[in-house]
Amino acid sequence: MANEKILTNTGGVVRFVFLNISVLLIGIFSLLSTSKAAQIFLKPGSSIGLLVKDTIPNKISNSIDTIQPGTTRYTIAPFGTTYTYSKEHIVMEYPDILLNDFIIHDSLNNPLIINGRIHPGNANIFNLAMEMEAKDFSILNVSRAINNQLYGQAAINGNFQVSGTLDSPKIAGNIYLSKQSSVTLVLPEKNQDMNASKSAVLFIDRDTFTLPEKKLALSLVKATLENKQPFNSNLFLIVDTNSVINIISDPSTGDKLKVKGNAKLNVGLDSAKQLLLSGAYNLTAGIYELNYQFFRKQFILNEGSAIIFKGLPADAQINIMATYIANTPPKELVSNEIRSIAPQFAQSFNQPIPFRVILYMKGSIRQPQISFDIKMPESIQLNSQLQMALEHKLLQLKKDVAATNKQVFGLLVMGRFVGEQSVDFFKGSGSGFDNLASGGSVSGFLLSALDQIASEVFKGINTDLNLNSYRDFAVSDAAQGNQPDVDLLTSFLNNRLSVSVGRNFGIERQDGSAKAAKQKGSRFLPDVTLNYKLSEDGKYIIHSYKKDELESVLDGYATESGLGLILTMNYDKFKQLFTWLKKYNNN
Amino acid sequence: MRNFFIYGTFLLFTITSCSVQRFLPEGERIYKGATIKIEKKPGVKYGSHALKRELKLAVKPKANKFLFGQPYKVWFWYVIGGPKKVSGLKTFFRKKLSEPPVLSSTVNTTVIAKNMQSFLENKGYFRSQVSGDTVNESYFTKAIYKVDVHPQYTIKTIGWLNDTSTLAKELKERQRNGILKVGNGYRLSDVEAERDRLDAYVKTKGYYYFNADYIVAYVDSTVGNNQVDIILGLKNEIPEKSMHAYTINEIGIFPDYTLLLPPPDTSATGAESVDGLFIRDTLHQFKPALFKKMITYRPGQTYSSNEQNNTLNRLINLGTFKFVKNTFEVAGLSDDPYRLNAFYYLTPAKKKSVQVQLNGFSKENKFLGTQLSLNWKNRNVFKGAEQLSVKLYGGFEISFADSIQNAKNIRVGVEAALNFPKFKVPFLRYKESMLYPPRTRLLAGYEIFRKLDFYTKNIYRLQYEFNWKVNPNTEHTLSPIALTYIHSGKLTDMFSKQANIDPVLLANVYNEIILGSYYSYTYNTANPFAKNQWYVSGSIDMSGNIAGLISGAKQPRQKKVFNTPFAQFSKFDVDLRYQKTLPNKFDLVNRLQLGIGIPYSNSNMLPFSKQYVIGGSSSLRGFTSRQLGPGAYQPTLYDQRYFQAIGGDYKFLFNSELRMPVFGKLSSAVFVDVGNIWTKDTLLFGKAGKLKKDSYKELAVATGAGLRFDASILLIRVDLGIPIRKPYLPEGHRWVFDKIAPGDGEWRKQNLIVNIAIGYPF
Repeated sequence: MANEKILTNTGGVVRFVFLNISVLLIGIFSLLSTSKAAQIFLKPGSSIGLLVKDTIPNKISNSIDTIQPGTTRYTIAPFGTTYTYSKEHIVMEYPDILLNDFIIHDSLNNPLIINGRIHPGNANIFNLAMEMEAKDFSILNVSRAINNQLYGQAAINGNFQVSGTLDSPKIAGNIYLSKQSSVTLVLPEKNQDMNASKSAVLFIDRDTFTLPEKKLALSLVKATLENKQPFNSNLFLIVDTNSVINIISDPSTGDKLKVKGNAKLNVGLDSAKQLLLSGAYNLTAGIYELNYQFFRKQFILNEGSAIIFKGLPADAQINIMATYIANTPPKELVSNEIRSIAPQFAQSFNQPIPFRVILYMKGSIRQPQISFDIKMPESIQLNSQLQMALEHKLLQLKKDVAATNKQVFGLLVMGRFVGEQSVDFFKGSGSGFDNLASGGSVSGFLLSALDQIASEVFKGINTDLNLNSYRDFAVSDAAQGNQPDVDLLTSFLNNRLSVSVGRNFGIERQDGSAKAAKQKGSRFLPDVTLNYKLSEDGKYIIHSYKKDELESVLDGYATESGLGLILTMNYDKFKQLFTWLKKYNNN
Repeated sequence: MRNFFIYGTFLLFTITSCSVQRFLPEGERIYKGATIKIEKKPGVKYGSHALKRELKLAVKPKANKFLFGQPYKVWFWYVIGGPKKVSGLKTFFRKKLSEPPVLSSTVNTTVIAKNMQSFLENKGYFRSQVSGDTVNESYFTKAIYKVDVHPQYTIKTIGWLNDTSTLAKELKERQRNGILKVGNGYRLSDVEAERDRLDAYVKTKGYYYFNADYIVAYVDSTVGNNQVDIILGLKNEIPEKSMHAYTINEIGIFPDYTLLLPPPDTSATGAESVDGLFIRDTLHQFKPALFKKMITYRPGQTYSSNEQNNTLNRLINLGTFKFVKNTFEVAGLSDDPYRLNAFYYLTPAKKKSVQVQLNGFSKENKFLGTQLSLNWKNRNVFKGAEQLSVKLYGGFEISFADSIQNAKNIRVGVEAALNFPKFKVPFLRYKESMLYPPRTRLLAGYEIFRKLDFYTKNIYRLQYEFNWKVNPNTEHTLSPIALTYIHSGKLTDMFSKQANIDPVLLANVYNEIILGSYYSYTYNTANPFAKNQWYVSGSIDMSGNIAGLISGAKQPRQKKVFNTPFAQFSKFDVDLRYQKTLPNKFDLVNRLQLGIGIPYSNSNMLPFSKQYVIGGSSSLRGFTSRQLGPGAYQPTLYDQRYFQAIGGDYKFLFNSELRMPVFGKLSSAVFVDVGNIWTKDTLLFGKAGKLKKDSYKELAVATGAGLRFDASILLIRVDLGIPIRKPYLPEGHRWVFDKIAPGDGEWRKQNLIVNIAIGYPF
C-alpha cells in the first residue's frame, strides 16, 4: 500500500511537475500575447495535463530509478508550436525528481534544456530548483486566420532559474526574444453599429435598473489608471530591435502598427496564472500603416514612442508619436486669411513644403486616443511672409482640434490642405470634427471624418435653412455599416465647383443648398450657374449657365444656356494689375 | 473588343482550368460572396427584398469578380505577377485586368452577423437573430447569413427623468411635439434625430456648449407586447458649462484681419465702440454703421445660434469679405461666469476686380451666339460694402433655322449697377435681421442692337430694385421703377420696302417707353431631399398705369411721354413646378406656366420683349420656336422672318416628364407637353390667334423621349419631340396620331424635333 501510495504520489508529482513546466513555458509563450486564448490556456485544470499523460512512469523503484519516456510530440494549439522530446531521462531519486539535460525540441529542432531537482516537502508542497536554457526555442508559430488574435513567429533564448514551490514558483533570469521574431497581435474588432447606438440609447429593464433620480452637475471625471503592483518576479523578457511586433489596431480596415524596439520587461503570473508584464518597450523604429478603402499611408514612428506594460498585456498603455510627411503647397491653408500676398512672395506660397502631420496615440492599447498636430518642417528656410503666415495659422490650428482634424483629413485623403471656409463657423457645422478619435485608429478617424462630412453636407443646408431633418441620412448610412464613399464625399469638399442660383444672390458665394440639391438631383434651379475654378485661385473659371429670365430686352423671352470662360483679376491698387501682366509676360 | 476579351478569358480557363487554385496559399480559399436567408416571424412588415438590400450593405469584404464561375481577375493577378516597377506595362495590366484575391481568411462571419443584428436592433426589430457561417465548395468559400426577423417594437410611452434644472425643463417642453411619438416604431435614427432637434432648439436659448450627445434615451424593452418605454434624460457626464444658458458679453470685430500680422488684441480697450460693438478697423475701410446693420445681436442678449448663423451668413453674403471667421469664448468674468465674447475676424477681399468673360450660348429661339464682356467691380465703394459694377459687352448671334434665313444680330452695350446691402430708400430707415442682407440695386444700361438686314434699336434702361429673402427658400423682388426706352432707327432699304407693302411690320420698330414696376415671389421646397418638391413663382408686371390715368389715354399709341408712346399693360405670371420622387430613383416632374398679359388703352399688344412665346427645347418640345401659335394660326415663313418673335399676350403650358436613371451619369425621360399662346388683338396674326371662349380647343400637344448626360458641370440633354396635336389644322383634324409615319422621310423632316440643350427643361 505504501509503495502504491508512493507510486501514485510520485506519478502525480511527475505529472504535476510537467504540468507546471508546461505552464511555465506557456507563460513564456504568452509573453507577447494579450489574447484571451492564452489566458484560458493558463488556467489550471485545462488540457495541459493531457500533454504529459504519456510520461507518467509506470514503474518505480525504491530509491533511484530512471524513467525514459518514449518519443513524445505535442502541440500547443493556440501557439501553433510543436514540441518533441525523445528518450530523455527523468531520474527518480526518492523523494526527489531529477532532470538532467532534459531537452525539449521545437519543430526546428531548437532545444530547451532543463536541469534541476524537485523536492517534495510537507503536505504536497514541492520545492523547485531548476535551471532552463532556451536556444532559439520556438514559442509561437501561427499563420494568419480568422479569429487568430495572435500570429507570427517567435523564439526565445536565454537562461532562467526556477525556485520556490510548484504552487508559487519563483522564476528569475533573462529571456531574449530571438532575431527574426515577428509577432502580430490583432485587437478586437469594434462593432460600429453597436457603438453608434450606445451613446444615444441605453437599454434597461426597470425591474432591475433604477433610473438616476436627480442629475448632478459634474465635470467629466478623468479615468485614473489603476496602478497594479502585480508580482514579485525576477524574470525578464528582453526584446531587441531585431524583433518585429505588429499590432493590428483596427481589424476591419487593417490599420497596423509595426514596431521595433528595446525592452526589458519583468514577467510574472498572477494568482489566476495570467501573464503579467511590467516595463517599457521603447520603440526605436516602426510605422503606423493606415488602410482605408484604397488608401495606404505610412506614418513613421518618432523617437520616444513606447508601449508601457503595467500588468496584463491587454492593459498596456501606448504612447506613440508618428509622422506623415505631406508635401503640399501652403497656399490653401492660409490664403483666405490673407488679403494679398506681396508679389515677390506669391510664388513661394505655391511651392510644396514637407509639412509634418504628427499622429499621437495615447492610452490603452485597446482603445487609444488619437490626436494630430500639423507642424512645419524642422529645417527649412522660408521667406518672412510665408513664415509669419504659417506660424500664425499653425498656432491657431493647435488651439482648434476640429480645424486640425479637418486639415489632417484633407492631407491624408486628398494630399492637400482643405481651405477653411466661412461657413465652417455656422453653429452646428464642424462640431463633430473635434471628437473624431473614438475609433481608436487612423482609419477609424477617417471614417468618422467622412461620416461627419456626410452629415455636414446635410447640415450645411441645415443651417442655411434652419431645419433639422437631414441628419437622418448620415445616421442611417452609418447605421447600415455603410462606409461613406470617399470619392463621393471628397467631391463635396471640392471647393472648385460652386453653384449659384438666381441673379441676385449669386454674389461670389457658394450656395450650399443649391450644390447639395444639384448633387442629389433636386432640379428646380432656375437661373443656375455652375462655376468650376480651373486654377486654384479662381483666376480662370469655366462656367455653364442657364438663364430663364431675359437679360437683353429684345427678342422676347428666351431661355439662354451657355458655356463660358472667365478670367478674373482682383486688385486693390490699379498698378497691381500690371504686375500680374508683367509676370505673365515673363513666363 | 470586349467580347473578344471575355471569349479569350473563357478559352484560357478551359485550357488551364482551376488554375487559380495552385496559386492559393495553403489552407486558403477564394471568397465567393454571401447569401442572406431571411425568415420572418408573423407581424413583420419589413419587405424581404428591401431588408435584404439593406443588410447586404453590412456584408464585408467585397467578393472577387466571377466569370463562368471563375474569379478571372484573380487569375490575372497571379499570372501577371508582381511588377518590378511602379510604372510600366506590367503594372498597367495588373491594375486594369486583375484584382487581388479575397481570401477566406479575411471573412469574419461572426462580426458581420453581429453588425446585421445591431442594424435590425437599431431599427427596432429586437430579438431578431442573425447567424453567419461559411460553406466550402471546391476551393471557394461562401458566407451564409441566416436572419430571423422578429416584429418591430413600437413606442408605448415617452417620459423624462426627474430633473429640476432649467435646461431639462426646456428640453422636456420642446420634446412634446417632436419626432418621437407614442405608437411609432422604435428607431435609433428617430432618437438621434430627436436629440439633434432638441440640441438645435436649446442652442437658440443660450446653451452654447450644449451637445446632442448629452441627451440619453433609456429604453425599456421588457414591458411586453412588443413595445418599449422611452425615458429621456440628461447624461450624468454632462459638463457643468453645458448646463447653463450664456449671455453675450462683448462683440469684437476685426475687419482687416490677416495672418501676416500677429493676432489682434481682443480686449475692448482702444477699439472703437459703436452701439455695443467693438470695432478695431485700423485701416478705416468700413463705416461702423455697416457692422451695426450686419450684426443682428448685441451684448446683453442671450446667446442664440440663430443670431450667430444669421450674422455670419449676412457677413459672408456681403461679398466684401473673402473669409469670415467667427469665434465665441467664455468671457471669464468672476461675477458672472456664463458670459460669452464673440469675435469676428474678417479678411477683406481685394477691393476691385476686372473680369473678362467669353461665353458661347444657344438660345431657345434658335440663335447661337457668342458674347465677350468686360466687367469691372468695386466691392466697397462707399465704405459700406456697396458694390459698383460696370459691364461692357458685345455679342454676335446667328440662327441657322431655315425660317429666318441666317438672321444675324449684333449687340453692344454698357451697364452700370450699384448694389446696397440694405433697403436703400430715401428718408426711410428699416431695421431687419434676415438671414440674408436685403439688396437694393440701381441699374442703368444702354444697348445698341442691330438686326442685320433689318434695323437698329437703341435701348435705354433704368431700374430701381429691392430683393430680399425672409426665409431661405422664398425670395421677393420688388422693382418700383423699371424703365425701358426703345428707340429704333436705321431701317434697311429692304425692310423699309417690305414695310411699305405690309405696314404691320412697323410694329417691330415702334419707339416705345415701358414705365414699368415689377414684383415677383418665388418659393422653393426647403428640404432638397423631400419626396415632394414644389417650386412656385408668381409675378406682376405693370407699365404705364399712372401715366395712363393722368394722360387719359384711350387709343393705342395715343399718349406720349418724352415724345414717345408709352406701353400700358398689366401682366400676371405663374410658374408652378412639382417633382415627385418615385421608387427606383424615378422622378415625375411637372410644370404649369400661366401667363396673362393685358394691354389696354395706350397699347393694343404687349411690347415684344414682354410677349409670351412657345415652342423650343425647354417649352413645347414637339415644335421649334416660332413654329406654333398664336391660337390656331400657323406662322408663315414670312412671319417668322420678319417678326422679332411669334408672341402672344396669353400663355398656357403644361409639361409632365418621367425621368428614369439608365446607368452611371446617363438618364432618360419620356414627356408630354401641352400648351399654346394667344393674342388679345387681331393686329398681327388675325382672328385665328385671338383668345376666344373655346380656345382650349387650340392647345398643341407634343410627346417624346430624351436622354440626359450629367457631366457634373454640364448636363447635356437630347429630347426628341413629336407633335401629336397641331392647333393650326382644321378643327377635327388636329390630332395627328394617324399621320405618324416614321418611315417617311418627309414626315420625319417635319415632325421629328431634336432638342439639344444644356440643363433640364424645368
